[in-house]
Amino acid sequence: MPTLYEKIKRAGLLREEGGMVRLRTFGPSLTRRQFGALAAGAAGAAALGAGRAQGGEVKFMGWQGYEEAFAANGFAASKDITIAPTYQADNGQAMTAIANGGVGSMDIVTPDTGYTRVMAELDMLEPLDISRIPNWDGLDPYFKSIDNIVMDGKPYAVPYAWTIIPLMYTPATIPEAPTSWMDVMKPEYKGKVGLTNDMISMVANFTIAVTGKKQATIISKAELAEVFAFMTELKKTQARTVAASYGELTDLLASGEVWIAQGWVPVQLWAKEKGADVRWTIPKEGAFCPIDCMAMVKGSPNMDDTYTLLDAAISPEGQAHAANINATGVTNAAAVAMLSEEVLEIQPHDDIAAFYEKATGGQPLPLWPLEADGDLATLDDVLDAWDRFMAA
Amino acid sequence: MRQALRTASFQLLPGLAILAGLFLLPLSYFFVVSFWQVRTFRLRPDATLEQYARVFTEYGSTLAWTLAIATLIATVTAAIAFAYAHYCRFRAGRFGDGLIFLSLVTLFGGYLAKIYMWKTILGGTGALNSALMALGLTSGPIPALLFSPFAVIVTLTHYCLPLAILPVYGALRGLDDTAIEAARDLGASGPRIFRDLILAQARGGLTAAFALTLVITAADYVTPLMVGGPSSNMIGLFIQSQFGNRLNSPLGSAMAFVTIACCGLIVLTLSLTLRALTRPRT
Repeated sequence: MPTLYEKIKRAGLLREEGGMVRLRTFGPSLTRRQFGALAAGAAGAAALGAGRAQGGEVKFMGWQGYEEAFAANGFAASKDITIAPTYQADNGQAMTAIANGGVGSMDIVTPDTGYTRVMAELDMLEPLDISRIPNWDGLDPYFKSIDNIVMDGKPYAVPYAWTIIPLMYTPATIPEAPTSWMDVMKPEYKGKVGLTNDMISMVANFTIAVTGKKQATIISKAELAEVFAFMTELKKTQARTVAASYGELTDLLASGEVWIAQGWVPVQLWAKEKGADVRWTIPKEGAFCPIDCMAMVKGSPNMDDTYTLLDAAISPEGQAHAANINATGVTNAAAVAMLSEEVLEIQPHDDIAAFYEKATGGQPLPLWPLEADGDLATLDDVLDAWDRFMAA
Repeated sequence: MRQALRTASFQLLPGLAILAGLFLLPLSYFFVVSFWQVRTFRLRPDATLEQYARVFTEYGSTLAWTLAIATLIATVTAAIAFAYAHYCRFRAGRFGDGLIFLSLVTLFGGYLAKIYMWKTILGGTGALNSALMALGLTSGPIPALLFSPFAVIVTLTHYCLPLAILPVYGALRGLDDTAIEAARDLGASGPRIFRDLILAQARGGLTAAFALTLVITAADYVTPLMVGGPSSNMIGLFIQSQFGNRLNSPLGSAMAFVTIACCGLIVLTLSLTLRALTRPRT
């Protein structure tokens, strides 16, 4: 059994000089006082660490700004939880990430209710134990009843934010609010119509307009062809451009390049900040009103912290803090009183169930079917048609 | 000799390892994937040409549009780069290097900044339209300046120009002045000197400038989306969409490899044309 001295010597950490044995050091030498101070500091840090709550890193992939809910009143930091965010430009990106190694390495994603069902069916999400999310009880009753969140009695996500994808217009050029999506085809708006590179919103709204069906994702292939024929005609004859983002759409509306567009309610606020008057309206046909959720990825490596954050995401403080930044609607009834006037102006919270009944017919839209089901248009049909539309 | 060869090979190893690790291996992976399929959002190994067939049947017109506009931009950019580099090398005297440095400084502006800059210049209330109206040349803004293929060409040419100038200037720097003077003394005309000496010397740099611009442009999807208007989208948008949103890396890979192959063919054609044009005559 070698002694400690022999082990150190064998490791090459000792050198002999003039009959003296010296310990080899890496980096500058320390005086005894310096060593003492360093040791005391290290001991203090260790003691401090031992006294703090154990936390970890939670990998979040979702819409930028949604992680703000965890920052309300320094919540995540107080629990010693670090958020590692990756921002998405589309819900499909999170699905791609989960399908390609995300199971067992990602923690939180932010699908809308349509994607929540699909991801749960593809075994990408963990069913949630509601007893570990006390703030679930504070949700507005409408959000607890959504078909695509609770499946077979098991909730797969917490409803986090809701919003409106309305028709937007500039009162300076269009004094009366448009009443129909079909107004975008008026000859006087030629070259002044804005479209967006937001496939689901565009297809959902123009399906509602063309087919008159509020459940716009349950349509036949023939109806889908009809919708895209209309959209392509609109793009070729009326559109100024297809805006890359809603930020760009705000610029286009504010600068007068575009007068009327399929938009998103925060655009009204952002335009106001630029000194422009832009308004939104829900046409008589209805409008797409997505509900974004937060869900736990299958095999989340940090389940305890993830549950803590999911609960914080639907707490009144977390909801109000994030909604006031992102200008979205809240799902926790107690958070409504904490919303700013600007957010309340663009996101009505009086009777959410009645609002959804009018806008969408009740439930938020499911995603288009993944697999062929009779004559129904599938998600692949829609994606292929969207590519043809963008290329046209 | 053998020892020197061994030493040289050994010295090349780190570079080759980086090339293989960061470029060849990922590329090989995606080449293999381009023969696979996707079912219910998951990759399924296969050996099918279906994705390649889809590229031509479903995205053929977009690919053709992309290659046409990218070739046009690469030609315009290489021509301007040659003119600028020629001026810096032969006309600007001791200010030549400074002018080249100035052109490179514009790279620090960043890609998105240049896009937004051109949006500001070409917009309905932008500098160019305002100037045209102030001069009485137009009665109202010209909508076609922005959100059109013209805007894509202008923006991408501006972005790629500094990158294209560098290889052309590098090639022209290697040209010995005495060769030009000798040709002139022997009675060679200006066009003859230009073709047989200057163009022949710049051929490699011109090809590099053209290739660099072509590849950057053909792969770009942000510029057409931001300034191209409703009908200028290029193949890059659909490649990005296959990888990022549609979970279909086999089709995205096939689209990418077809685009790379087409770009290779275009560059080869240009290279052979330039070689034929500048072939030494007896």
